[in-house]
Amino acid sequence: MSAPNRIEVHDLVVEHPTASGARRVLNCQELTIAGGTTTSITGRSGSGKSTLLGVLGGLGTPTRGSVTIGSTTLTDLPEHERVAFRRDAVGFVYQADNLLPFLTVAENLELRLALSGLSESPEQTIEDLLERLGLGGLGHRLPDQLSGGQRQRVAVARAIVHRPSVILADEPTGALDEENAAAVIQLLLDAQERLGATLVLVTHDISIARSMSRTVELRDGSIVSEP
Amino acid sequence: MFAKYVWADLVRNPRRTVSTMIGVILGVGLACAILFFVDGLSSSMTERAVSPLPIDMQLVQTHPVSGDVRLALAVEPTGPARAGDIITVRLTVENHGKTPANEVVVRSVPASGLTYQVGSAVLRDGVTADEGNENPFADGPGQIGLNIGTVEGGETVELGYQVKVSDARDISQETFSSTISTRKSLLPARANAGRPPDLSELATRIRVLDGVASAEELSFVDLPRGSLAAATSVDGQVRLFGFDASYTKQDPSIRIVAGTQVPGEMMISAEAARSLSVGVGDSVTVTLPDGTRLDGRVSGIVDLTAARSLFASRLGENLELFVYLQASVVVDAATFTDVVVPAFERLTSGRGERVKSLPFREVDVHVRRELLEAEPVAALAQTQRIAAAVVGVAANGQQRTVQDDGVTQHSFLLDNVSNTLTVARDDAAVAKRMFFLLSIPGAMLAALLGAYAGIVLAGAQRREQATLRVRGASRRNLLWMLRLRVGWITGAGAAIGLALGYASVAAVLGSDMLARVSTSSLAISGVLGTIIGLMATGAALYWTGRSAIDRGIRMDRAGIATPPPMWQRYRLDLMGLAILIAATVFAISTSAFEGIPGSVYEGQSVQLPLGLLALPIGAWVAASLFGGRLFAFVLSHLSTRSPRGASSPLALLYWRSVKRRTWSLVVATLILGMIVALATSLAVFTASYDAAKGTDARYTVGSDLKITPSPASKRVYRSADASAFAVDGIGTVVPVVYGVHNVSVRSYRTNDVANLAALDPTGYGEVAPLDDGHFSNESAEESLRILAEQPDAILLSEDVAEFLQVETGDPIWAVLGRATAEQVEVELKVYGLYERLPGFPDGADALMNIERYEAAVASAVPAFFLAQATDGSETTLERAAETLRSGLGADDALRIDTRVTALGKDQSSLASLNINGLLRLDSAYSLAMGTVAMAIFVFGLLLQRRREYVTLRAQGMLPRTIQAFIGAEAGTAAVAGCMLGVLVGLVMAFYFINVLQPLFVIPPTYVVPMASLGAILGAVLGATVVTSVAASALVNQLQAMELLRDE
Repeated sequence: MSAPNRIEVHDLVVEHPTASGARRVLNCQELTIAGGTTTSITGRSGSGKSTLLGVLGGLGTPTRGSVTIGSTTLTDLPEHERVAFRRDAVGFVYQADNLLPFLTVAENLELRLALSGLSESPEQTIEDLLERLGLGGLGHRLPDQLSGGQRQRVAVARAIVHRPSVILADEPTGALDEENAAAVIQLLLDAQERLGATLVLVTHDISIARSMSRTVELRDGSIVSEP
Repeated sequence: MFAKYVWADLVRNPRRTVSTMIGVILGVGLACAILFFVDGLSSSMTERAVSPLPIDMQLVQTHPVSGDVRLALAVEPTGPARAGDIITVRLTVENHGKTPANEVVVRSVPASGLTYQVGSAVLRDGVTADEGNENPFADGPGQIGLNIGTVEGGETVELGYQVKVSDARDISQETFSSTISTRKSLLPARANAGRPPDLSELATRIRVLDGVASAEELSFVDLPRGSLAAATSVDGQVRLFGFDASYTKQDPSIRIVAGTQVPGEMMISAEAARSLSVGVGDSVTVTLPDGTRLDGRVSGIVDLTAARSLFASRLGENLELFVYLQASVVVDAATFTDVVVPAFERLTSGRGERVKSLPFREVDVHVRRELLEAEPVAALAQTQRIAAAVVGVAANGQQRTVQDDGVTQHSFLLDNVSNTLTVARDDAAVAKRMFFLLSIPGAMLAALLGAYAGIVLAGAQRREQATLRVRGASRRNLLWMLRLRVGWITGAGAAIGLALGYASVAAVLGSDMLARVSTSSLAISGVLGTIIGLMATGAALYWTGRSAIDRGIRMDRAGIATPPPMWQRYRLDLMGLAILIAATVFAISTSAFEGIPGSVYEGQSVQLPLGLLALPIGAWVAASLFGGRLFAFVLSHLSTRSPRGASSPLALLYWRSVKRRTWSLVVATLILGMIVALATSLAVFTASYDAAKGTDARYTVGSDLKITPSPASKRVYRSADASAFAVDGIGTVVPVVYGVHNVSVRSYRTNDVANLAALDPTGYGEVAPLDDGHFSNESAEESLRILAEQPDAILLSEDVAEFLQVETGDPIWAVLGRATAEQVEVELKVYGLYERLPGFPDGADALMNIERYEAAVASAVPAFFLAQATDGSETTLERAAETLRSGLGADDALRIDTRVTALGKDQSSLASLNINGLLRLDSAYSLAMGTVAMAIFVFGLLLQRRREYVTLRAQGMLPRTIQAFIGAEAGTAAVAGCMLGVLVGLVMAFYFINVLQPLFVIPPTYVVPMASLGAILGAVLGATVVTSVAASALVNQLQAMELLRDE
């Protein structure tokens, strides 16, 4: 029996229709990410990193191939089950914070908990988490009232508040200065370790990539390097 | 370069282009449609205006019995004359007739600078004489002329005088103002006037004029009691007509009920035939006032009870009043000319004779109706052209207008149709102004839509514009591109809108109706509508686009909430409401809503206080904005700790979103509310208008049906026979004794003839649409109760009471059964006054209880019966009318008027406007705008918040929950917009109805058409559901990762 957050990819192909025919943006024959590990995905712009991350999180649908997380083959699931899986097992962090602007910091987290049905004493959970992430006392603020670094830390908090088994991060530090970038990466690594989650992080930054236990490089949609 | 970029942008983003253009299309479409609609309806106003006309034009003979006495004037020498020259004037009087002309007065006044030669006047038989050395033909200060006594038929009298030229001048016949008058023709006729054209000759010459459908000779004279006899003579006055079968053929109101019209024989009215007990083939005698007997065989029995052309009064004070005489005789035109007219000539030429009634002679002209199938302006141009041609024929090539010196013409033209169309033309102009003002809200809505679309789409272009700025585009460049974009979008939108406007009106009115409209009118409407729509929407698009560019340049990132709009910050809504309330109070206190009712009959166009149309528009804007303020207040004070369902993701999202993004929801609610308000107000106004039209029609008829027995009926319907008309679908039936000038009323001070109506007051109260406002002292119900209970009660019209100088409580005496064998005077007491009564188009001056009347005049026969349908539906009414026509009516030729076929003469021709069509038009556009507004709101949300939705998807929110979230916000805007719109619309309708109340005889009541309102609200809510579902489906198609990565 595989680990609950082990990721296996087989013969994964994603094609986008264009005027001149289908354009292949991802062609990943085999990829296995052990559960509870950290993996960075690197590559040039347009190499298919974000597409791969989207398919791993069930946000995108491949043209063919399969993605299995633990014992669940995501690509075989109907839409509503895929949504449910993503809701309960996956936490996303993006380059943009993508916080809901009309919700306070605490409410953004409360919503995430509510979506996963974890609504028991959410205030305490949220308060503890914010404290841990250095955001204590900011729960009542709206995202517009925070700095970029603070917003991105709230985004990390939102990705982990429901204790996902897989954390997917797409250039989470792309819009941050070095100091904030390091802090965010540290937060992700701490969370991954605390939750025992599988962290897959897309990045251009070699130093960040090296902070992961494993790096996968994509070129033109295919894996070209896997140390 | 910029043009190429803008063009590519428009073409490559077709959805964005179309959604921006749609406001322009709808704005221009609605503005053009309303103006085209009025153009199309103008032809119906023409039809409405001319349809009640009994005669289009009447060429009336000025001296129907003047004989043939003429004056010839000769002057020698003519041309330049020097001082001292002698000029000889010869005046020749010729009587070409057969009867003598008495008291012939010849007048000849030389121009100044000419001096009468003493002793030069030549009088009758060559006698030369003058008194006091004055010109006998211009004697005394009044220069009244010389009475030469009687000129026998066929006689010629030579007269003359000489003048000396004091100052050099030109001499011609016009230098001597010369006229002749006789006892028969007191009005002087000019010398050398041609022979007055013969009436039949005039008719023949007019008949061939372009545009004339018929021109027929009509003569009539009223003869005293006893003039028509067989074995006995008829009671009352007799009217003797002279017209041919061709006249009868063109006038369907002349109904021959037995026999035919034969030249040389007579037709008599059904009432006369019954009174004399004669039928077709029998002989009757008409005795003329000079004793001439006109014996003839009866060739036909005729029903003239509806012949308004024959009985409409030609007298100024009662013009158009239907003064019917029961005893009538019709002879052919030639008999009237050869026998009747000479008889009156003989009579009038006799010294000391007094003739009460002289013959009236005219040529009745009817215009070809196809020429009038146009708007009033075009139709009027046609009728005026025809009238000028008719006058030309009558003038016989000479200039003959009424002169300053009192010289008259042989005939004059009553151009009824042009007079009527002049009123209709003015009414049409009022209608155009009215509908133009009514189109303003539509244009404003389109502008709002344009602005709304502009705001939403500006967000979508922010990134593109930022990119352009990075590449070096200046603000000026961006504005130039914006102008190009707005220009192309509005240009294309206007062209499509114009076509849409025309097509939508053609769909509502039918293309035939629009085809009747002149090209110039359509062109003006098209240009006007396009300019209105273009300016409104183009300005809105440009303004919002420009603001977006400036905001982008200022790097002014939008916060989470749309900031409160300017009107809210400056409290413009509150100021608007205060102004509205003050203006309303002022308008009510100064009776500004009352206006001046128009009537085509009275030659008066309606005068609407159109300036007051600013009130409903003001109410629309101010009340909507105020509603928006209230809604925003409520939303912003919602508790974020929702009592129930706070832990559900949907509830959490919804409550926070509506509380913290108040203004984006309020703006959508406001726009939707304004659309619903306009549609609601028009629906209420239209329903009220239709109801008022129906009430007016009932007022004209007197009830739902008016049954008038024909005089040719085999049976006489008395008041006890009313139940015979109570067929299926008819409830109460009320008999009404009535007649024009059927009673003589007298007070202590004066007396007059009047139109008396005698009826059952209780029944009349049930069947007639009485208005308390038309009764002076008591309510309508109370007045009729008194009439029912007091045996000596009479109610008088205010006009008659004023003439008789009586008040409530005063006694008056009425001669009932006037001019009949049963004529009797009764004493009555005035118990109340009224302004007018329903059911009496020719007016009812007095109202009394039929029981009392019948007790005094045993032979009284109701003139008509008023009947009320058992319900208000047209189906029941039509069924009842058909039952009557095919039942009793089949045998007895009943005339049945219903409220559906009634044509109120008191109404303005504006009342013929197809307001239902306008409603359909406006509703269609309002619904389109409502749908578009909702689509813009929902898809705008999608555009602005797509990243939110995708984030929610990424967090595992189910598509149906996202759909519910979108639907809940859209639904809130829709429900709040509908509630706001209905409330504001009801207020707007109040103003519309009051401003337009002069269109009606009875003030319209406020009718709320629940079905129409339901349809409007259903359509808006339906559009909300459809657009929400469509938008939700699109959320699932968004490229999630792409959007989530975007900074």
